[in-house]
Amino acid sequence: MSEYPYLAALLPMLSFGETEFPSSERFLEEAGKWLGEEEFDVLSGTGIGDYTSTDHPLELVAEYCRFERRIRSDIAAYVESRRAGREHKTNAFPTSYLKDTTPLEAEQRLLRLRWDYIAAELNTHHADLHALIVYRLKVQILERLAAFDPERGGDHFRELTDVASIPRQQRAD
Amino acid sequence: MATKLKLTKDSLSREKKALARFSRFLPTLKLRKTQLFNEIHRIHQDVEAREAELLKVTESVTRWVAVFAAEIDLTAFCAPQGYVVRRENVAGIEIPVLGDVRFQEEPYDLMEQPFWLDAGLQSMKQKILMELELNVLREQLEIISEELRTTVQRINLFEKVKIPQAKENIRKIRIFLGDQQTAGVVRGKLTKGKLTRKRKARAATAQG
Repeated sequence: MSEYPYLAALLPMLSFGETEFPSSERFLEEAGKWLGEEEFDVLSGTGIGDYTSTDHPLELVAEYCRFERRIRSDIAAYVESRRAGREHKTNAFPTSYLKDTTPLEAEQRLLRLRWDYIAAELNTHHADLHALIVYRLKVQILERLAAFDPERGGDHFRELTDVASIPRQQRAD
Repeated sequence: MATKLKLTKDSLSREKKALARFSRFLPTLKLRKTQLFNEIHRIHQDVEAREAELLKVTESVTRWVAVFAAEIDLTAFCAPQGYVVRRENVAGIEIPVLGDVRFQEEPYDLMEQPFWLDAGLQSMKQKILMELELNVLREQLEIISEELRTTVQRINLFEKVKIPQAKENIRKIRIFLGDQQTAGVVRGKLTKGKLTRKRKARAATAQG
């Protein structure tokens, strides 16, 4: 337990949208030097994509998973309604996050929503495992944000929609 | 090397038949030219409309294309398998027409995948369909334009070469045959005059 302050002191402050931050890999590598095996497993097993561990023994993780589940349930219900041509009013966040906006803006808003939740609801500990879990979640949010690169995205979209390699079948009707 | 025109009645008949044939084909060719021209115009309009739609989709996607950089294999959920091109007869020629476009689609768990995936897959499909439609329309344009070029060449050949040539040949043969007829008449008259004169001379000798 006494090692946490040393590790916390090594980590730079994070703010939403910044591009300079330690990667998840780098962060875990550093954490691995300071934490015991059990704590490290808890830390490395936590992620912003986890919505199933709602009964996790660590209440912080369970709380985040419940929050993530609420977001995802709302998104799923919204998409299903949209496919069926119906309206759906979201509960976990304003519907305007998804409606009349681009998918990129929606993803950025949802990541901001997660960030704000973590910062406001979970960021109550300093220099302990809780604080490191919060840090890890924040790093993952920044990584997701940074992954939205227009140039790489454009290249990938062009590859996906390249029709030259689609097999053509000639039929004389 | 052009063959020498035979100035005979047979040749005149042949040239007359050829002229009649060319004159009969010409309106058909002109009609075909109009049909092809109209088809090209229609396809051009289709191409322009599709290009505008494609541009709209592309511009719209450009605003959020960054999401496609995320580490998700979209082809696991929707992958083009192939497309069918049928042949249709337009203005007497066969042109390709886009038939079914097949996609291998896999349903996915909305809880597991990000929000943008639905719109991403939809845009991907939309762009592929538009690109294929445009490609086939451009092929149609190429085929019909080539046919129009050939038809215009034939019309020019008939209008500017074959028909005037046949008319000129008929004129030449008619003049030649007319001259021959005149010469025949003159020769006949001369012979008749000679014979008459000979007959008269013989009669005068017999009387004297």
